[in-house]
Amino acid sequence: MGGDLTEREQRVWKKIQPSVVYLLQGTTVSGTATLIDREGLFLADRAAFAGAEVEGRASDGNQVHFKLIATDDPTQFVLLKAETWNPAFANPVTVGDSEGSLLAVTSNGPIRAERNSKSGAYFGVLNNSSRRSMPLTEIRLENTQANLGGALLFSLDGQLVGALNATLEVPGGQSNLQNRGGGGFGGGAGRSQSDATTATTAKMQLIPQYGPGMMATGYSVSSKVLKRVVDGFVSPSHEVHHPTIGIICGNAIPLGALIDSVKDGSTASKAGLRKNDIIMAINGQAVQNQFDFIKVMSTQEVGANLKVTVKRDGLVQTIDVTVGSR
Amino acid sequence: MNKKTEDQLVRLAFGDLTPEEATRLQAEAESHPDSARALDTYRRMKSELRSLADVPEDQLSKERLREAILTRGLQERPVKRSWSWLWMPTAAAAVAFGITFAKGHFIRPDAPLTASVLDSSVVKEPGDLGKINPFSAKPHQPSLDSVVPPEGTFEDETSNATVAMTDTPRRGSNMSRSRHGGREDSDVKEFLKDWADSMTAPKASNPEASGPQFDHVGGATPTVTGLRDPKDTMPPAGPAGETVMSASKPPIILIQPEKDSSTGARKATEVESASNVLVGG
Repeated sequence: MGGDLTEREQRVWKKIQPSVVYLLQGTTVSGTATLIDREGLFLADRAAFAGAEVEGRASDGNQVHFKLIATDDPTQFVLLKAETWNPAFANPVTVGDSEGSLLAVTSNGPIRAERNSKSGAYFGVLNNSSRRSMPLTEIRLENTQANLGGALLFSLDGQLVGALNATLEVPGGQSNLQNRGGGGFGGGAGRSQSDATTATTAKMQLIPQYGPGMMATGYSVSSKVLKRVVDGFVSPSHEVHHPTIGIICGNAIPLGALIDSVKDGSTASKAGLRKNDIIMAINGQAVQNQFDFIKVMSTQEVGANLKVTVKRDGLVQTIDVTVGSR
Repeated sequence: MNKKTEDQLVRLAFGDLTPEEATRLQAEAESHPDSARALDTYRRMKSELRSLADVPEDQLSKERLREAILTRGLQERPVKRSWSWLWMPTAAAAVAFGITFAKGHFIRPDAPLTASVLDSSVVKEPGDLGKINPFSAKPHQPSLDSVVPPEGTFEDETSNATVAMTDTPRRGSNMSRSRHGGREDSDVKEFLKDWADSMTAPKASNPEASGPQFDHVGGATPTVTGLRDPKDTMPPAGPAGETVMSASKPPIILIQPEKDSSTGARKATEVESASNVLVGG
């Protein structure tokens, strides 16, 4: 593995490899987990396995048995505990932030990846009951053998910078034939387009391919969120505390974020926010739609005090809300 | 007569133009019957508004104010048949504008129409308005820079919460801006605007217009309309068809629990940030 990597990339892989375990579903590698605590705590994506226990294979070939300790719902990261783990075997990874070239450790080993946007340039929403939003980073990487789920992302300094939460679904599938002119991660490789016709595909197959042929666009949580997850998992409680006030909102017309629901017992509920309130500003920052709302919330910390300007039944008022955690 | 001309005439009627501009516009107005008529209306409105300050406190109510304007401010006058349709909408729009525009100039700070600085501990329900003494209002210090409604208990004259909303600057609109947040004032203005709107032809709203629609003159309608059903939590794949209020914002990524068979990772779809995706925070 790693045959296509540059020398530098291979050095990075060699450095982090002891900290990475391949998770197994039977004999098939279903995902990867990385060491975040010397006592055998590992971080993995929930989609990498099913159930509460999973087997893994360490870099020295030894089997490792894991138990699921905690799950962070907003990010779908899980905390695994290795039943027997030699603390001296590997160093836990550290969380960093990096732009540009990355190393993605997939089920089939490391591949080259590239960060396509600034950390937190996008915002993602998990389609579940909590609808929690989180800042995301766009990643471009080669899609080989459909093995990208939960791929761990490392900078070329060997720091953990993300994990592939999801890949962009586009009509026609995720494949994209790269611009044949340059090879490598050229600017010509964009998202796959629904207008990639059969004729075009056939034509491209006749042309010798240089560089990666199948590119995928994926998203990883931002480094800030990842660090929060890791810090929470390694804490004695193993709980991750994401800042939240406990509301779900959509767009108000013409402007504002319309509160759709307020979670019972949340800080928003205690402060008096109600369904159908229209959030107009938070701490002086205008909230013109739900995007602005999640953008403002993404910069908050647990315990911070927010001055939320809302409109209710034609009356504008400011309500103090403390940022809680979940 | 276009909106700009109307605006100029209102300013002339309420004395907001320089002498040179006033003289020029007066001459122009006199040469056009419509403009002269409108100017006359605005001037009468000015005097009517002034007289409203004399309404005793116990008689002040939305209904009485409405009645006063209806009976004293907008009596129909014989006009040319071909322009009769213009009269009512012009007058109604001028009333709404004039109330907001002229209050700070012609109504004493302690007059009944001054926005009361409300204590939110008093006003909890609409019925609490009767408890408020409009004569206890504090004189305002209007600030052209202040855009945001006051915070807390409404007693803060200056707010630290500045909102980066754009707003069409209007001469004298700082008066209404400083009033923003007074519940009684906003109720009256809102009522007048609704009434004025009902007398005018509907205007096409411009989402790109500066500023929130719920500012100053009456605010937005109390009930928010036109929303997508909040239960519709699954936006269509691809860009949603909602009005784009902020076209420059990046899309929101909706992550599904199902895996994408071609990548092995969860599926993600992009939706326009202006679409009504429900998000939690």
